[in-house]
Amino acid sequence: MTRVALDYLDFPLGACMRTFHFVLCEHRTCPAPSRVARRLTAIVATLALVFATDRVEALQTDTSSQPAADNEALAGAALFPRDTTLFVHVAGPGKLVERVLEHPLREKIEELEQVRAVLRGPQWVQAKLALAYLEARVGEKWIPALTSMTGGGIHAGFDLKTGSVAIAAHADDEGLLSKTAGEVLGFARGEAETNGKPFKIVSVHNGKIADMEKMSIGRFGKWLLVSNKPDYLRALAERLDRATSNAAHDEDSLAGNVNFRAALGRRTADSDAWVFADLQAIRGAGLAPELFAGSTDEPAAELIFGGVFEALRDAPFAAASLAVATDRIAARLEVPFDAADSPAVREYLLGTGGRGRAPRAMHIPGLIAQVETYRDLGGWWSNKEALFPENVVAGLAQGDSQLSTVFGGVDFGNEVLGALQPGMRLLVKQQEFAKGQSPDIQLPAFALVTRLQNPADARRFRISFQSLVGLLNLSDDGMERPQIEIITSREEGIELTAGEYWAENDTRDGLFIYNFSPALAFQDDYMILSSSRDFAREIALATKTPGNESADSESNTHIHVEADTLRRAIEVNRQALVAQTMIDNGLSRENAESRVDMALEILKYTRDAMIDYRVEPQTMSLEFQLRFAKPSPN
Amino acid sequence: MTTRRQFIQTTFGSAALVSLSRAVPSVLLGASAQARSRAGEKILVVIELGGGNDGLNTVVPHGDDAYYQNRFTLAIPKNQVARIDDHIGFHPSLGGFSRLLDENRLSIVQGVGYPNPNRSHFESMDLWHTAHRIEESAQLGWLGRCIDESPVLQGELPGIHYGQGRQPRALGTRIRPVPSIASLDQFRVNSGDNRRLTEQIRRDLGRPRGSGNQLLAYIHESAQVALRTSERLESVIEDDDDASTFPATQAGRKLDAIARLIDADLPTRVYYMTHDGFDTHSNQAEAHAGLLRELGDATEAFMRNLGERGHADRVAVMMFSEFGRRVRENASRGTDHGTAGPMFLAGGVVNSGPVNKHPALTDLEEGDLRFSVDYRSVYATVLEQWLGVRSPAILGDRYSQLELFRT
Amino acid sequence: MPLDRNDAWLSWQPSQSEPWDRRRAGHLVRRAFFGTTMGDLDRLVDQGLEATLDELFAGAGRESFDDEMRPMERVLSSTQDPRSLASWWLLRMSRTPCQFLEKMTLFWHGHFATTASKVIDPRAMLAQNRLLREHALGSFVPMVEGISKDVAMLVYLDSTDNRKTRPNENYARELMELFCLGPGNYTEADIKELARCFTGWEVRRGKFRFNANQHDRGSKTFLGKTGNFGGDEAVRIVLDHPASSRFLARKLINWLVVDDLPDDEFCEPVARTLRETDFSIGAAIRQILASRWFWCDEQIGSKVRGPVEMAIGLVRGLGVDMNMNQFGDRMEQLGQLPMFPPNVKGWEGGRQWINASTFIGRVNLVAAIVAAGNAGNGFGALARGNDSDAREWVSELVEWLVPVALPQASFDQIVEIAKNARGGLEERVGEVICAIGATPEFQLN
Repeated sequence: MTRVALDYLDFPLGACMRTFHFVLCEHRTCPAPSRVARRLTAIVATLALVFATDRVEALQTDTSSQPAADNEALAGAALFPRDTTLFVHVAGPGKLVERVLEHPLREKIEELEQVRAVLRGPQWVQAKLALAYLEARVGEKWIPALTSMTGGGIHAGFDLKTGSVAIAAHADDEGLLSKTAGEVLGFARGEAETNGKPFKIVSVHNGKIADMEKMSIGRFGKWLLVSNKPDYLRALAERLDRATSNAAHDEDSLAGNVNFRAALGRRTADSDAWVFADLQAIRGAGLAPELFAGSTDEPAAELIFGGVFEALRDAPFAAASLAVATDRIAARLEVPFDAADSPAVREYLLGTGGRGRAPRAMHIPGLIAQVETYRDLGGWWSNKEALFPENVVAGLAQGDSQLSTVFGGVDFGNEVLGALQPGMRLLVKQQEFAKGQSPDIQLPAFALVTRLQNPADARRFRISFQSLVGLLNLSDDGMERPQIEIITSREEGIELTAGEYWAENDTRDGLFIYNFSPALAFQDDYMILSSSRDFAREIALATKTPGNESADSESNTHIHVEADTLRRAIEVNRQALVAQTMIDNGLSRENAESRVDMALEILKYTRDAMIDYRVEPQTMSLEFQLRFAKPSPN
Repeated sequence: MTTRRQFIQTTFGSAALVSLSRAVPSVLLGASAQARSRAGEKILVVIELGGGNDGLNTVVPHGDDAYYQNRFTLAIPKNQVARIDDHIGFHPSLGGFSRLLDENRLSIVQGVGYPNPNRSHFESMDLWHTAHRIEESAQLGWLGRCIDESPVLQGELPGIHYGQGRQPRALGTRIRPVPSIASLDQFRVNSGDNRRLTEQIRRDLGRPRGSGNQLLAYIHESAQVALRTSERLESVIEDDDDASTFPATQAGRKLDAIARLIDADLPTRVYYMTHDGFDTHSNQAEAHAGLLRELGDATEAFMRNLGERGHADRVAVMMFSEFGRRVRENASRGTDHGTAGPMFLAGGVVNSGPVNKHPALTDLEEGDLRFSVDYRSVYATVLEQWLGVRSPAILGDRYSQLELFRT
Repeated sequence: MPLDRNDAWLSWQPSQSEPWDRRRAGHLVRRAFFGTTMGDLDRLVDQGLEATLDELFAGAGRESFDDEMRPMERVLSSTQDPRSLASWWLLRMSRTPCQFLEKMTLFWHGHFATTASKVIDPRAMLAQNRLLREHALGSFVPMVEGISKDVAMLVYLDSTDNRKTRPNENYARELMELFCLGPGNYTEADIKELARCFTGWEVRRGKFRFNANQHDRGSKTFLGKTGNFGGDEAVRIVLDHPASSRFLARKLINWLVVDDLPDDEFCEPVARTLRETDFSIGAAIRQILASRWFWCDEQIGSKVRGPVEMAIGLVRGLGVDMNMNQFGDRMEQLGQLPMFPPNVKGWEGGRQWINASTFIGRVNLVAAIVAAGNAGNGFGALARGNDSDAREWVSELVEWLVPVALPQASFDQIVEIAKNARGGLEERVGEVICAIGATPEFQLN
């Protein structure tokens, strides 16, 4: 009976070990860079996921914790070679896990049908059993055990050249570490013997190493080291030995790497997990060449990410950090970047000397999302020959010809794009519909808010807009849509030209086109292009009110999405989303409804999300923040 | 008054025979698809230049002062024209065409159009697609009619539209639908472990089958052709996936795929692709130059590729646009919808060079060129002399033929 | 023993030599349904032939299923994306409790072929779809009357503006050639006269209407009748032509029984039923499905599986949830995207389904369905009996999925896969299904 139970427990552990092997070792057999890259991403993602929790609390009470975390990372880095490609440090993993498990959202996520399926699955149950067994053997619950076994943090390093990976855990409690390691090794030995695989324990002067077929595990005092390469593990052990005997850090270790020290110096205090990547090594290995090429063939990608391409072309390293609190998750990715030295062709998005700043955010009630960005579209256009290869330029020329026709013969690239100031905003808001003109699928209204270099250009734009909207009346696509009437009004210094569907005689309700009353508004030098007349007017009015805008932006691009208004917009379209879910997944109505409703439920726990793209004198960074909310009864 | 069907019967012989030849496996007709050499089967590739190509800036009448008077910003300066003769020359972006001409592989038919020109894209394109037979049936295109009715196109998969989007009406059939193929993957076993599955299918299809069951025998044979195409395509693709000699443009990629299908020995006789964007009302110069370069370079690469693989003499590429553009340019540095324009025919055995005169720029009809060749004459020539199809049944009338092919 | 032609339409009774078993129940399922699970097939075997035929026509669960789908139709109506209609219908086929009704609706869609790529307006396409479903097993008469005023049909055949000075002949031609009589039963003059009857029939703002000012009130002569006919009377005259019942009988027999049709005389008993019941489609189908001819050995596997019936059959049989948009893309590659027939004749079917691109496409489709299933719950339960006896469970799978016997060597090869393929039982069953799907025999129905 016991034997059967043991077999049962043995299986998941074996499976876990095999998974571990796979993650750590399998890349030897698949040298293709993309697969290595994928595995790399998987490792980082797994680590990030597992250890994502918050230290904001700690930060709020004790800002002096920063040097402590840095010293912890340095202690780990001292074990790894100087040219380590990727280094990850997770501080206080036990506490992080605890916080994640205690988060109110966790319960909701576990209710998700897909998650439930995993939780009911045999692997999950067996893993839980294995954990329970291990807890019983070690005599401690796993979270406190994890806390005391990793009190000095978990450190992981990856070396691209040799394909070596190692994870180092720094314990507070040496005894517990020793006991757990013994249990795990016991399993491993059993597994190896059953399968006729090698298993050997070697004593070295500062600890013990177990060599297995595809993995070595070593324990050295308070350190537990795991690696896919025996030699790599031994090298780590030697550095550990030197680091413990010398107070100073080994200059030949990662801790002595100038780039690493520079990156660590920029580490924000609140990060729970921190990643350092040696971009030179990654570039040298030819991984993800598109990312480091410095340019792209996609004009839209250039327009959005051109600055990132610019920085990644030569940046020596990248650093990422992650912080999770009960009220937020924040992630930051940064690379060193000399803004003063940015090239002329990318001034259209970075601004002169990298000083391009997004316009301030507008305060308009009920927005779903807003984007503010610094983009000089005219500059982007006039630099196209320098930015793109010949065939892309040819494609843009064709687009220019067609769009110039649409704009009534006005030169699109130079006279339309070139007439706009660099700062632009994109606003999204749910709209209200008049009775009888309420579409079955209710799209939010969109608006592009720009400023003209020369307000006298307004007339030219208005004429183009009128001819463009007029074209819609001529297009015959078999729908026999109602006709559009174009109305121009001037009030309170706002000039509004808008098309409205004339639907009096149409008996068909719910038409999709009622989502649109295309509008172009002018106020001072502001030009607002919107899918909705009311929204255009609302924004135009807002531009007149001084103090409506918030403080000067420090970002090149800022994106803000409000969860509450987003959820309301989704709720209005629940039926459509259910239909879409049914089609996309081949589901019954009932299953599709529960999926949509669960997504809506989870949105209730979310307050907002922000993305900031910043160019500072020496750094380019991307920040992402997701804030949670206490769900309101409605 | 004969019905359309009676008409077909008298034209092609017994309708029963026509349908029989489709229904009976080709083995039973004594021409196994495998054994048959396709060397004698000529292939037509049609490239539709959508939007109305500006013929005057494609084949440029640089010897004509009227050209320079009407094209005050868009005219190609004399010294930049790629001269064909004292009167005409190619747009400088058409280096591909110039080189094809040097190799005697490009035929130019000038001033192609039709009476009472229609300047609507859709309506004019419909005329070209149906050979002016719109009223007779809502569906049939001129090539579709061949595929439905002509005995010489009764093999498997006679036509392919290569590309995404709506199928051109020219391929509209009533009986045998022409597939639109967006990617070569459609011909390849692409499940998770395709090698293993392909190997299994190969082993299984290698066994004899269906004695006494004609339907099963038919499927078995079709499956064998399919598998062979798939394997051929797989090896062709593995051969030179990284070293494609085609330009990395849309037209280049389409012609690359068509070249691979031809080389994979597909039984297809008619390939059709579109190359859009010629509706250049504004800022024409750069846009048009890019479109022509894409077309010329891709066509040149196509002919070169076919030549290296020994297919050049059995492939002809026909290029047309729904209309040319007005002689005088407009105020937006572009040109508006016009009438007649040039057609091109590339291939190993075409009668290379201009086969007729450039239309006069001084004898205009409401500011537009007068056509000198009816497009249906070009169709008739290609049908009769290239595909071996009797043209009156397809075009609804007898049209004079041109000397487009070397005999 | 070959069936005597005179006995072909007699009612079939199971016998020792022709038993009601999985093979024959599977035959009915493939022809009248899309597909069933193995368990459901056994249920049909257990309940017997009569009860199964009754179940076919009863259409239980139709109302609640229509209720479930209705909100979705409303959503689709307001989009301008005709392509999502195809996804919607494929979803409907894969989930409906009334498979027989749905499959016959697909038949009528091919008969009255209308493509959304021209009609565009989803409302019109959905209205036509409802019309076809409404009458799919009812009477052909109101169906033709309805289709003659159907917005989608009139848009498709360019007949939205039918003026007395210039009657549009398209609809008149197709009504006789494709919908009711077949070629050779009318003249060009008949078409011209019939077209005059439909003058004044228009589409305005997405609705059918009769414009009395544009109707030609003169006398018309066609198909041997003369009078001041309107459109409704004209439809009835066409249906009263002796060729109509023959034509319809042959189309139904072609759909349900065999690709290579026998002569008119052979089909006459079904035509007679249609005439005697004023075109009751249900009566004709019941006669066909109950006939000895339908059940004789030669008929099992005498058709080529259409792409939709093959794909939906497998999806239903395996209980797989699939992304219906991607599924639609594959249907398009295989040449049968519902709502988008290639031309006014609909899908030719039969041997036309198989060619160099579609055979590989079918193999890939089966693999895609299997992959979707493996990502879900897996197919372990489909290996019935003892896992160690691969021959046993493979044989049950083949019997369930393939109408005719596989050559012994092919079968053995698949058993090898079942024994030796990598992965657990789930993956191996999946791989066996892929291999079965790649045999020529699987392509038969």
